[in-house]
Amino acid sequence: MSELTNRVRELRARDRLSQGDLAAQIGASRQTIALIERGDYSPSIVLALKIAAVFEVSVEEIFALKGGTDNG
Amino acid sequence: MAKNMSKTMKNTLYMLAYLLGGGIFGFLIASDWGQNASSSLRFDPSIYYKYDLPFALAALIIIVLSGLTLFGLNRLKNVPVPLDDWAEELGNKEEYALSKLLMVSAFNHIVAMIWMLTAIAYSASSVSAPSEVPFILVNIFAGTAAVLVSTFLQFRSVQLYNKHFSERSLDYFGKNGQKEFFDKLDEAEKFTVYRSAFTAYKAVNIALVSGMIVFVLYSVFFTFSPLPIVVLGIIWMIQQASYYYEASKVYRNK
Repeated sequence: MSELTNRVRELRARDRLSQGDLAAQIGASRQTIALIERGDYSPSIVLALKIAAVFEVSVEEIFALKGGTDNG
Repeated sequence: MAKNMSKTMKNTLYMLAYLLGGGIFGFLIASDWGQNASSSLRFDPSIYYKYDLPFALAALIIIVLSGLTLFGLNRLKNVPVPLDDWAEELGNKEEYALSKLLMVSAFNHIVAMIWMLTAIAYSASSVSAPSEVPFILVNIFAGTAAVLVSTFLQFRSVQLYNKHFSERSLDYFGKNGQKEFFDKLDEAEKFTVYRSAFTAYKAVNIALVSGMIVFVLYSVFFTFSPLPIVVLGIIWMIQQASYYYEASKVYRNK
């Protein structure tokens, strides 16, 4: 399982986007979006940035490490 | 602590199992029964013609798998494109059925190839008798027909897949079809392929060693047969060389 938590499903619901719609906008497959939302796959930086651009938020507002970080 | 104990216990049990297996194997080979096993192990897979049972089994498997493929094609041909756009689950039932269809059609093709090639090999060998010519010809023609039918069914299955996943279509007859298909995958799909390939790599490692042991036993109990062991060894080396060649690419300068 991924070490990340994410708000992709929540933001999709906010913007009324289906998994297929989001996938088409970032050039991925619907299955990849489903894997990310389920926590079974951690997207690359490139894919995370593309997702953030679609929702017009920063990457940190979508993805976070489980249990937080040791910094600060 | 409890987890480590359990792992130690597991390793100990594995070691005991290997010792027991090795002891039984050594006893069988060294004993009188082992020396005369070829006369004891009378397994004749035939009713009328030699090897008619294995060929009949292959035909039965192909009939079943072809039937399943046709059933799947018929069931999925009218499913709308895309497959349930608002599906939220990973793999709705139509996607799952499509993946099973591709797998069944692939197995069907493999069994058909085995049937055809075995029939050709049997006809070319010195084991077959002149009286078996009609039987052999039937198997060669039926096996060839099975290969053609299974190829067509597999092609139709791939066409159905391409209809639903046009951005990741597979060119079935293309020279570089597999590479082009892989290049179209996104990062998560490629990760799934890598993970599946590694699982297949580990499974083939076990299968190759097991196969070589089987042919050693065959040589012990029946007749000396080095060629299968050598061929499996060569396949093993090719597999390892491919793996290390791909892994070493990361150290080469671009």
